Amino acid sequence: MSAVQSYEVSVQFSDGDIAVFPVTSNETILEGALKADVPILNQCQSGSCGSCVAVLEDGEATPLATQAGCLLDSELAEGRRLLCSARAFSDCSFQVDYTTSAGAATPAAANVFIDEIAWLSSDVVRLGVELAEGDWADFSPGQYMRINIPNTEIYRSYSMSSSPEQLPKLEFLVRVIPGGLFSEFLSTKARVDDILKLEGPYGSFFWRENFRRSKHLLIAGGTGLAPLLSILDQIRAAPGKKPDITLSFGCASDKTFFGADILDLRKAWMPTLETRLTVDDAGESWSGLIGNPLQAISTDDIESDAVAYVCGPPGLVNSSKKVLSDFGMSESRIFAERFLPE
Amino acid sequence: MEKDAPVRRRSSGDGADVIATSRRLNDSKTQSQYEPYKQAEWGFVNHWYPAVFSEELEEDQVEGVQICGIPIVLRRVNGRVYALKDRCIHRGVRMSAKPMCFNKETISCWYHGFTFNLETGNLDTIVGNPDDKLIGTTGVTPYPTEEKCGIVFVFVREDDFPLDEVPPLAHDLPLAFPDNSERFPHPLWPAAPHILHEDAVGLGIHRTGESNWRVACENGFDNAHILIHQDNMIVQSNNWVLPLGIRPVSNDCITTFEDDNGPSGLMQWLFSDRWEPILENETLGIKVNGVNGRPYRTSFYLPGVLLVENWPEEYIAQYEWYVPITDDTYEYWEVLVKRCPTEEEREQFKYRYKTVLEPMALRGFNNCDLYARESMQDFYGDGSGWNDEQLVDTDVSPITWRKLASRCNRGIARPGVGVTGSVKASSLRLRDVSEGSPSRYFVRKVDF
Ligand SMILES: Cc1cc2nc3c(=O)[nH]c(=O)nc-3n(C[C@H](O)[C@H](O)[C@H](O)COP(=O)(O)OP(=O)(O)OC[C@H]3O[C@@H](n4cnc5c(N)ncnc54)[C@H](O)[C@@H]3O)c2cc1C
Ligand code: FES
Ligand code: FES
Ligand SMILES: [Fe+2]
Repeated sequence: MSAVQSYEVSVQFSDGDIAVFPVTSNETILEGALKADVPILNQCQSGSCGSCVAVLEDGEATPLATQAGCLLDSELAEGRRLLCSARAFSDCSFQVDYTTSAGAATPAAANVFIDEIAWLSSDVVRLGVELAEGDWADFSPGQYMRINIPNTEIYRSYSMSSSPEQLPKLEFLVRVIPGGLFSEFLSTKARVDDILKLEGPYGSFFWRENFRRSKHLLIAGGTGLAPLLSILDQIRAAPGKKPDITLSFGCASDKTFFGADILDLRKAWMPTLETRLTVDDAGESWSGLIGNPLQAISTDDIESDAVAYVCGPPGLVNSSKKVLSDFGMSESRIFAERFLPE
Repeated sequence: MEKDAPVRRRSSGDGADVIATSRRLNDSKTQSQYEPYKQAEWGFVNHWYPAVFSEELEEDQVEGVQICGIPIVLRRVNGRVYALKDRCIHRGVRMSAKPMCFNKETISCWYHGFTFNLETGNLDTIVGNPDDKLIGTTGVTPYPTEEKCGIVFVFVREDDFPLDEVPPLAHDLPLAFPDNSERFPHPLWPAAPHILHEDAVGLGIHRTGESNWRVACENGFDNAHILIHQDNMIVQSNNWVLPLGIRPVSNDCITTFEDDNGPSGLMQWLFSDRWEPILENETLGIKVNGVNGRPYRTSFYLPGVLLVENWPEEYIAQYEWYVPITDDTYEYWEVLVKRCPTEEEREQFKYRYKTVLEPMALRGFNNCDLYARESMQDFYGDGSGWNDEQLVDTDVSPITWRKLASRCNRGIARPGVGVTGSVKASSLRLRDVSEGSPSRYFVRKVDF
């Protein structure tokens, strides 16, 4: 066994700040960063949530053999690394696409009271909650919270569909999966006025204000719509000209489709928003498009300065990243969140 | 979070006297097409508003006003009007309360001498502390201004609304005629004069109304309200006979527009076959014989600007603004605009204005509107009216406006914080009222 080595790792944030810290050969790069108080976004620390992703600019850093990680081979080839699941084998430099202040908002625990459990379709529930007296939870639109299943130590991740403007209220869109632990709790046990524990905010998927003037392409599958609604409401509330926005949103079938009314309102309020609604499996009465939400996007929708936010099942997110970069979009302008089971 | 501390529901927080500081985007279950409008209690920001008449601000004069909960100080230097946020960064004092200016480039706060650049708002120096490290690193928000037709307009913006995105004043003013005469023909009257016409003269008044600005502006183009004007002197002395009401009879009775290079607004096709005057009510046994009024037409624009064409006389147009001061007060602007290419015509217009138009139209006629709006305030003031109102088909006008405003506004003003009116029954407000001088639109100058 070779002796423990120490390397110098630098991370450049999107505001230009550079943090330099030592990492030894027997710890992950994230561990080194956190010891040195470098604000790298992270949550699961096991390679599944994707929060800690960074782009390797220089040097050698390799994923741990023991962890699968949620990156695609193509992403690894581009230099993307999950810092929680990577070791340095030389001095390295990385880039992350958020600012130092984004990572500095440390996740906290909070209690909430349930205000609303509303079924939007046969398998989607809107969960409305309010932070308890004395508790607070700031977040950036697009981020998620970990919600505890009462009387267990189990947590599940859910993205806010509400915007920070609505605090102390928060809203989530939850797809109820038969047999799922949180799903079962929500559909059978949860009642208005119950208390839930949550932790957050988490995630590096959030609205990038520096791109606020660019054409926005939003692609959502199922409850992946949630963080995009939060982003939409934030864009509406932000000062200055609104960008052109194309939102493509799809569900598996017209029977489980939800959210048409929510999106109609957003369209009424936002002259620059265009929506495309899709289902894979349509009955007679469906008047929208057939296919998945990615198929509703073509090269004509991509402007040279466009940014994309993609959220939903891993399959949709992975193919979107691929197709959008084939359309000529730069990887650094595609932001994505995968709703991975845990 | 302590483990054992009891978890309690958030008490609603807003005591009866204090305005909630959180702005809720879509908190209610009664989400509707005009939810953003319902939230705009303190107005729409990032728009152009009239602040003072030109003659109210002489060279070197300083005045303070409040628009959409934002305190603003104005100073005229070498003819040009500068506008800054009127809240000293040091301890929040309003600079306008005791004007102190040592040169033509700055305004100083009279309390401890923080001195702000008129153009940029930067903290240029501190009178008695010229080497302080704070100098040059901070400041107050500057607001773009324009002066047209005898009115000083200010672009009331959020602190972070980019200056390079400030639209031209024309985007927040009514459509101009004859440029739009083909689009919106007006066979019964000549093209209305516009604020931006070179030869336009604007004469008018502004005063404070005790109601929410939305209640006020919806009255301006509410076609069912001519009832309140039946007995007005201007109506009777001209032998006008007004209908009992005006009903929409066609679904194109109102046209909305969102011009890329112009204002967003709505045009009501009055005095056309899309609206029907109601002459009789059989239930009540009332009948109007031979309507004889003057043809006019109302159109309405963001952020709350009314144009009444051909009113109150031919070749004149009435412009109105309902500028939010707080959530329960607004500044009511009434301006008559006429094109007067010659000095002689200007003098004639002024004479006619002073002797007839101001007393009979702006005061006599429109006083009724002011009272009517205040009469709605209790119903809408606590927000319940927006849910409890029972609207009818003639209310197509306010509903169309609410939807348009929800969509085309450039920002919903945050509830005023730390400003006049954020605490409703503050001791200062009460003292001013008890002394018979409610402090309202203009800052009351301190006097020592
Ligand atoms: C960052 C992040 C954000 C998320 N945000 C949201 C959100 O906003 N809304 C939302 O609805 N979900 C979201 N998810 C997914 C969510 O965290 C849970 O994984 C999901 O709700 C299932 O939880 P459960 O306890 O009900 O089921 P579990 O008990 O975890 O799973 C039960 C069974 O269902 C399977 N399963 C789990 N997920 C799925 C799936 N999507 N499709 C098919 N089978 C599945 C499991 O493999 C298992 O066999 C997010 C996930 C991540 C990582
Ligand atoms: S923290 Fe690295 S993938 Fe979750
Ligand atoms: S409050 Fe203005 S200088 Fe002190
Ligand atoms: Fe009136």
